[in-house]
Order: sequence, then C-alpha cells, then structure tokens
Amino acid sequence: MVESAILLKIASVIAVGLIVSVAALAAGFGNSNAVSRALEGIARQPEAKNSIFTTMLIGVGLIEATPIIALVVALLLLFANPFLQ
Amino acid sequence: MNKIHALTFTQGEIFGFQFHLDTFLMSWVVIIFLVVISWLATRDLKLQPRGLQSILETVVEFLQNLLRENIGPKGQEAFPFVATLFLFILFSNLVGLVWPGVTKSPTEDLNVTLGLAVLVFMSMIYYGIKVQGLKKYLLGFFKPNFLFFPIHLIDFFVKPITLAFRLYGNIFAGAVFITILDLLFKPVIPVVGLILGVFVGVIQAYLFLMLAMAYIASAMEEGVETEEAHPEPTPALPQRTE
Repeated sequence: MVESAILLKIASVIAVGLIVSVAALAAGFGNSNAVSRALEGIARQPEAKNSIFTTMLIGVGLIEATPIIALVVALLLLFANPFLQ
Repeated sequence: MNKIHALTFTQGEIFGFQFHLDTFLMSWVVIIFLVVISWLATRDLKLQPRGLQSILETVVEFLQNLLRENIGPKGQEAFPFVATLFLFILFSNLVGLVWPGVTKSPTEDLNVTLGLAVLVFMSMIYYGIKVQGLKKYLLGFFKPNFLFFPIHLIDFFVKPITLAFRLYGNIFAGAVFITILDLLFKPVIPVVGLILGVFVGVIQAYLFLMLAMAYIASAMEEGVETEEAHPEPTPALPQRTE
C-alpha cells in the first residue's frame, strides 16, 4: 500500500495542476471580455480613451482577484503544504 | 528543500507579541523613506517649485484630482488617509524588487494587507456615520427592503477582505515568481520578473486606492448599492463635429 505522505504529495500536485489551469482559464476569459468591451468603447469614442482605459484597468484588477487567490492557494499547497510537515 | 524567500518570515517577539520581524523592518524602511523624501521636499517651500518639491506637488495634485472625482467635496478630509494609503502601498510593493532575496515587500505579508483592509473598514464606518449620521447610516442597511440586511452585511465585510487578499495575492505571487525564475533561469530575472513586479505593484496600489475611495464614497451616500454610488469619472467630452 502507498504510504500516506506520498499519497498526499501526489494529490497535492494533481490539485495544483487543476487549480492553476482553471484559474488561468478564468483570468484569460474574464480579462478578454473586459478588454474587448473597452476596445469597442474606445473605437466608438476615441475622446474618452483615458477614462475608458482607467476603468478597464480597475476592472482587470477586480477580475483578476479571484484567480490570484486561487494561485496563492496552489502555491501554498506546493511550497508550504500544511499537511506535509 | 528549496526555501522560498517570500514564504519564510523570521519570527520574533517584542513585548510578548509575536511579529514577523522582517516585515516589521521593511515596513519601517518604507515609512522612513517616505518621511525623509517628504521632509527633503518641504524644507524650503517656494512659491514656484523646483526639483523634488515639484515632483511631490505633481503627485499630490494627481491624488487630489482623483479624490475630487470619486468622492466629491464631502470627502476632502479623507485626503491624508487615502493619499498615505496609496503612497505606503505603492512603495511597499516596489521595495521588494529593489533587491530580490534580501528586501521583502511588507505587502507580501497577509498581516500587513489585512491591517490595511481593517483601516479601510474603519474609515468606511467613520465617514459613513460622520456624513450621514448614525441613524441614517444604520438604516441604510435595510434600505431597499428589510430582507436586504444580510446582503448588505455580507457586502460590508467582504469588500475590505477582498482588498486585502487581492493585494496580498498579487504581490506574493510576484515575489514567488521572481524566486522561481531565479532558481531556474538565472539571467532572466532582472528583465521579466522585475518588470512584471513593477507593473503589478503600481497597478495594485492604484487599484487599492480607487476601491478604497469608492467604498468610502458609497459609505457616505444613502444606502444605495455600490455600483450606483460610485460614479466612474466622466470625462468632459468635446462635442463631436461631423
């Protein structure tokens, strides 16, 4: 039988792979949505470019918060795993 | 076993309280840096600024414009708090990139970002009660309908917590990224990791600032939902001539 420490390591690595891939996908889709709408807005009204750009940056910051929290969880599992002491 | 610099904090004890000594030290480095720069710039105030004084005046003007757009005249007294928040966060984010491996951003430590979020939380309450009055502010939690109270409550607590985790996650992930790059591709870190770190640090500081202002502004309004209460700065569009 596989001992529990190795099993935990295997599980952590698989979990990290899943977490990071889903987080990357989510960040990619969320950001692309926001930025493409911002581009449409700029194309429609070039005078508002600065305001739209600022709002877009704020939006990107907000959107990326959750994927980055997921990334932090993944990094913790990888480097400071509380189950493997 | 590889030690990740961003993950290991040197524990220490002061007066019986547990501290992360390196975070403590780096926070004070940032504070002293800001104080020294401010003192150097205001030593000899001239009506027509030169040099360091004009740089700082540009920054102050920029922050005041942002504050005026987002909170309006009622929030002018929040300016010192908000400006200090921004400057501290900005330089905290950047100090960890000055010497990767030796210096460490204070904002890499969840304790620091949670402390900043608590400050924003308290300022939301303070300015809400100050501008609206205690009764009106509390009634705002029940505003659209009595059943909205749990939603308002959750919203109230979640906002500063997401501020803390967003800032922590971004800066911490950047620091780990630099450390990993250092382990794998020695010559590459100065370019890729540091540029990314500077970019992310500036944007996250600006984002924290805008969100803190938006939350304070929404706390000062009637109990309206946040999305309506903080109007995005509308540019003065020139009339389209066609």
